[in-house]
Parts: sequence; structure tokens; C-alpha cells
Amino acid sequence: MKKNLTLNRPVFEQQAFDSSALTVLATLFHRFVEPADYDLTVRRDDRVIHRASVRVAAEGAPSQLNLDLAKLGGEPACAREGAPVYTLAAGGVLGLYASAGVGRYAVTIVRLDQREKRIVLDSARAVPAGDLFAVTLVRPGLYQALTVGDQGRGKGELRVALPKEGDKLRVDQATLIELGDQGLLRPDAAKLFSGQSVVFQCKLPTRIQVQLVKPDDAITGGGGGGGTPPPVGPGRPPRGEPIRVRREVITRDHR
Amino acid sequence: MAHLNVAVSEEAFRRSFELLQRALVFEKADSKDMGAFTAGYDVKAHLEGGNIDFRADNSVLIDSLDLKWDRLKFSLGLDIPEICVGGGCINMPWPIPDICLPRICIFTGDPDVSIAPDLSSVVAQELSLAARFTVRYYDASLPPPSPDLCAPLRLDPLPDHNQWQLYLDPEWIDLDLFDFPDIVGDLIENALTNAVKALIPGGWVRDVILAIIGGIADLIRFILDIPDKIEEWLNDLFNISFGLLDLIGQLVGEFLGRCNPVYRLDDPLEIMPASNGLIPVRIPVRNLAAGVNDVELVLQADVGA
Amino acid sequence: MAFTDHCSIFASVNEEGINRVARHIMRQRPSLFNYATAFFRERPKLLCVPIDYAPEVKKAGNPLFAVQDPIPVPGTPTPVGLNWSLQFTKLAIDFHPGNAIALPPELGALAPQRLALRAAACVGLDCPPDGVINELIPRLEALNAASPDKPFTGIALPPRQPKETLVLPTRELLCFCLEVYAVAHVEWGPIGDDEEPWLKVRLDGLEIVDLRPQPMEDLIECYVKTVLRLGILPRLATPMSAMILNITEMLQDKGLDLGKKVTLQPTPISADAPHNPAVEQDQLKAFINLVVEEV
Repeated sequence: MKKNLTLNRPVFEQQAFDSSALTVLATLFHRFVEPADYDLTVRRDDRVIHRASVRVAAEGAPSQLNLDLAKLGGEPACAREGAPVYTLAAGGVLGLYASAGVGRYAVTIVRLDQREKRIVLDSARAVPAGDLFAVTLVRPGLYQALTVGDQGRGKGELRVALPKEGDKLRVDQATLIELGDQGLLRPDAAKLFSGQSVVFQCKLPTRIQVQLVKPDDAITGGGGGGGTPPPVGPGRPPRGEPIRVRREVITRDHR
Repeated sequence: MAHLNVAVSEEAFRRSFELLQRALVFEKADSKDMGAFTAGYDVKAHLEGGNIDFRADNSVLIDSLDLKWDRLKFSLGLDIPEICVGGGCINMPWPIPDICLPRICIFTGDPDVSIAPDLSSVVAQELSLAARFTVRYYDASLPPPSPDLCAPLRLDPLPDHNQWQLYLDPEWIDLDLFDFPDIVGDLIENALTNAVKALIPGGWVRDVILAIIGGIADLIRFILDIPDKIEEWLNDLFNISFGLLDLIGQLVGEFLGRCNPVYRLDDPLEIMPASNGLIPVRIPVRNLAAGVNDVELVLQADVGA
Repeated sequence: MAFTDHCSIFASVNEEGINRVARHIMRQRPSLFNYATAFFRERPKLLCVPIDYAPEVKKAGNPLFAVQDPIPVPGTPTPVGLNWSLQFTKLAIDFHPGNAIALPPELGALAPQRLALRAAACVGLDCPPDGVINELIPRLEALNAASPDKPFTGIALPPRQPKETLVLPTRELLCFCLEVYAVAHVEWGPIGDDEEPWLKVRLDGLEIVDLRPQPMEDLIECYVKTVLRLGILPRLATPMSAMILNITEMLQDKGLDLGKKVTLQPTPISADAPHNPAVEQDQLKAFINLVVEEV
């Protein structure tokens, strides 16, 4: 590999996701319904790494802001003075995600303008009602989605595959799954392609977990680790025989 | 009638020209930033062969000169675009706004690949030119030209005495277009494919990445903006973008027509060498003229008073 | 018909051109055409004909004439010599067919492949005036009378080693010029170890017009012929490359760099080119082959 290039390994190694500990490929969307001032605290592995204010205005502000937790750091502001201020429109969404690294993040949002502080989001406990949790699944295989809420548990199945030969993959297509009463998933099964996302919409406070239960080793088509490249040009002949895939690099590191 | 006549047969002239032609070397390197990729060349060529034909209209036709590439390195550097997963937006029911997911990119840093195959063995071109003989008088008392555009092309230093110089000044130069064979397209594609593959780990990771980018071949074509055959794209690059043909033609024209005379006559001309301490005998040469008919080059001059 | 039908390179010079060349040679090599005693080094104006020379000759310190020994006065008890000079001037050349120089009948019509030469040979001899002679007679008489056992006393002689020639001072030369006609031809030949052929002039006949008595004419003709054959003409040889204006000099230099030896050689005689060099049509022509060999 070229020296000026780094593979974002967690993209390929992260195969278990938990809304209570945000990692790469997982995004939590918190919806700010009411205009007010809020306090945002970000923790990584139980250590506060970032504090900020979120000002939600009635209008005249963006309706979505995405915050890359992996880019936060340095000495957190102990007081609110000097902390960044994010501005959102009422009803807007703050997306919290990590673009790289192996950190596990939790986020707390507290509303400040009332007599008593009200915690509107404590991701370590649950995704509050009205919020969304998204995971981007890369490794082909069978995933299980588990939900745990006050009302009950739910289970769902996610099948991730590679596209057919010759089909170009669109990773920007997401699947929406509603988490309804008693934690049930609707739909409770979905098929998607590698690199695409599943978005869980919570009606009730829920903790959501997704994990790979059966990796798909039968990768379709050739073009694995090495071998002759496919001939090119329109009307080119189909790829040659599959070649032995070099899996040891990824699986060893994953352990 | 001129005092002095010298005639040179076509065959004898060919010998002179052959030696001059062998000293003509074209060597250049350059690269262009095309945005998504950089393309460059590092080339060296010389001329071989050729037929010389004196024509009755006082011109000389030299055709079938082989332009032999000693080195034809084509360098290509691709900026691999961001390869990311996730992203996209999801429609939400009112009053919830549509939500856009962040993209997570597979590489941190700026991936790029580069190759530099030498294509000298697969390209052959011919050059032809028509020229006329031009006589120029070099006056050593005048300051040398500034800037001296012939400095990199001149085979011999400027003389320190006056001299008649006979140049073969091209009127037109034809050069075959670059026409890379199909094998070159395959060669480049293979080299790029291997270079890209070297960036990507093997196994299912590669499958995923290849699926995202739609295959390396398509990626290459996307970056290079090639509709179909790489070799045709390469032809356009060399023939048009690089302007190599113009450069070669210009060099040949300047080399022959301006910088390196095919014949020289000192003025005054030494006809008896120095001997036993006595000075050489030199005669002034005036009114040198040159022309060709269909069999020979004829030089005429007068002896000065 | 092309010049190079039977050769690689053809060169020719016409009469007017060759006469100009001759004039340049005479001005740049005056010592080839002027002979005199050392006395005239400081007094060139006393020569019969003023010497026309190129400025480069003086600049290089080249002599204007070739120094010769004085003509001895026989019979003197101590060597006595007279200053003299011999100068060839007004050289003209006429290639076959002869139409510029009318040869004397003794030389006949100009034959094919021949060139005619005409020049003036001017001779000058010092004739000592009576005063000088009269001054010298007593000294010489005394020398004549002196014997080894009877040392000479009386008139003192200038301090001089015995046998050194006493050259009588010259106030002016007695001069006369003779018209000399000659017929010659040219041929290629080597000189020394030089591989390149040289163009040489060979004398066929010479005539000095109307000298009497005839034996005197014959004697002088013989002398002039000998001077030309042994003294002047060998030094007028020209290398082949000069005939073609040295245009192949670069070719020969570059050829060596590329492992090729490039030489010039006379085209062999053939039915199509029976003479090489050729003197015809008022021109001197040379037919040359360019030979390229791998080194």
C-alpha cells in the first residue's frame, strides 16, 4: 500500500453495533422538537471529550447538522464559556457519528431553559422516542437486529449481500425500519447491499443492537485477492474462475 | 559564369545527410495536470533510414525516415476518488425533515496510483520532409545571437571566423500520427489495475470495494474520461494534448534549417596549407549559390579579387 | 548530362577563377616567386619589380623573397659577390582550348588536356659603379701580391674572416624582363604519407621568346625550366579537398566519430571519363569519389 494512504480498517472490522456505544458506521440522529438551549456532552469510553451548546431556534437555522465524533478531542471545556455553539432549526436533526477510529461514544443532551435540567438524550441508556439510529453494514452476511425497550424486545433479520456481477452498487440507498409498540420491528427483515444503511426509527425509548451472526464466505464472482484482472471494454467476456480469497488479513485483525 | 563549380551527387549527399541525421536526437519530458489525473511523457528518439530525392524544382524530398523511439515512457497518475459507504438521504414523514446520513470513507489520505510503462517497442512512425537549400553567411564579427535558440541543438560550436553555410531548410514536415496498437491499451489497463489492486486488501474487502467502484476498469475509464478504447485516448493525448508531433516537427525544422548546416565553406577558404613556417594560402569566396536538379546539388561561387 | 554522371563529386574552376587564385597565391606566398640576396631585405624598393604582398605575410613575419647567395665574382683573391634578383610576375593561365595566351610557334598549338602559362621573368644584377671598383682594385691587388711568408703590410683590409664573401653594395640593379611561355598538364598524386591525393602541375615545355644567340636562349630556358620544375611547381600542389571547397571536412570529422572513415579519391579513368583531372572547355575539372568505409 502506498505510504500516503491509510485504509479505514474499522469500516471493515466493525461487525457489531450498539446504540449505547456509538462506533464507526453507526449514527444517532436526535431530533430537537422545541426551540431552546441545550447542553451537549460527548464521552468516549466514559471520558468526556467534548462539550458544546445547541441553540434551537424557531426558524432561520439549518434543519440538519452532522457532528463527527472522531474529530472531537483535546481538553474539553469544563465550563460553558468558550464551548462551541451549534444552531439548529426547531424540528431539526443533529446527527452524531464517528468517521474513523475504534472509539465508543456516548452522548448526553440536556435542556437548559427550564427550571430543572431535563435530559432529552442519554444514548448510553436508550435512543429516545422520535430519534433514529442508523447503521451502515459492509460485511456481507446475515445480521441480527435486537431491540430492548421498556415495552419489550424485538428481533429482526438483515441480509447483506454483494450486488450481482456487472451491477454497480449504490451505497446511498437506505432502508427504514420502524420500531413500534413492544419493540417490534416493521419490517422485521430486510435485504440490502454492502455499504448501504439501515435506519431504525424509534417510537419508544429503545436500545438497539445489530450484529453479524453469519458472515457470507461465498463471495460471488472472482476478483478476490490477486489473480488476473478481468478483460475490459464493452461486451467484454465474463470474469474468469474465482480465485482463492486471502481472508487471513482481515479475520486475524478482527480477533 | 561562376568561377568555381562543385556538384554533389544524390548518393554522396545522402552520406553527408546520414551523418547529420544520426546526430539529431529528440529528447523531452513533460507532464500535464488534467485534474483527476496527471499524464506525462519522457521520450527520446532518433532518425534512421530515409530516401533522398533531388527534384527538378530545386527541392529535396526526404521520405520514409524512421522515427525510432529509444525511450517512450508514458507516465500516468490517477487520483482515486473517495470511496465511501453509507450516505444518502431518507424521506421522513412530515413534520420530520428528510434525514441525510453521513458518508464514511474507506481510505484516509489521498489515494493515488501511478504507472510509467515504456511504449517504445510498440510504436513506429515515419517522417517525411521537403526542403530547399539555403545559403547563409556567418559573420564572426557580429555578436552571437541572443537568445541563442540553437544552443541545445547545435552540433558544433559557432566558428570563430567567417563562413558560408549551406542549410537544408524544410518547407514542410509530415509526421505519422501516434497510433498505439490495442496491446498498449491492455498494457496500461493491466498496469493500472494492478496498481489499484495493490492499494486494496484482498478477500471480501476487495469485493466490496470493487462493487462500490464498479470494477477497476470502469473506475479507470471514469477517472480518465475514456469512452471506449484506452489506446485511442492515448493517441489523442500524444497527438493533441502533449503536442509531441509539433515539438518533433519544430525540432527537425530548426535542427536542419537553422542550427546545423549540411556543408560549410570557410571564407577565406584555405587552398594551400601552412608549410615550413609560411602562412596558408586562402582565397576569398564570394556569391555562393546552391541549387538542385533531379540528380545533383550544384554549388557555385566566385573567387574574390 | 549531369556533372556527377560518373563520380560522386565534381569540381571545376574556370580560367578567370584560376587566374584570381594565382594572384592570391603570388600575394600570399611572394617568396615562391621572388628570389634575391639578403641585401634587399632592408631595401626591397631596389628590386626590379615591387613585390605585391598581402598584409598577412608581413604580420606573420614571412619573407617577401627567398634569400639566395650572391653571384660570385670569379678570380678574386677573396670571395666577392654581386647582389641579384629573379622575379616571376604577371602570371597568366589559359586552359585548353587556348584562346587567351598566344603561344610561340616553338610550343605549337595548345594540345588537349594542356594548359598554357605565361609569365614575366625579371632578372636584376648589380653592376658596381666605377667608384666602387676603383676603390677595391688596390686592395685586391695587394691581396693578390701577398704570400704566406710575406705578411701583407700597408693598406688595411676590413677585419673579416678569410673566405667570407664580400658583397659589393648596390645602389641600383640592372634589370630586364623576359616573357616566358610554358605548357603544362595536371595530375593527381600522393605527397609523402598523406592519404589524400594532391593536384600537381607538371611542366611539358617552356619557351623564352627571341633571345639570341640561340644557345644562350636554350641555356636560360633550361635554367628557368629547372627552377620551375624543382623550385616552384612542387610548392603549388593543392590537396583534393581544396578543389571541392572543403565541403566534406565536417563529413570526414563526424564520420570518424561514428566509426566511418570517409575519404576522397580520384574517380578511375573510364571511357565515360577518360581524363581526370581534365583541362578542357576553359576549365580545370576534377572527378572525385566519396568513399565511406567502416573503421
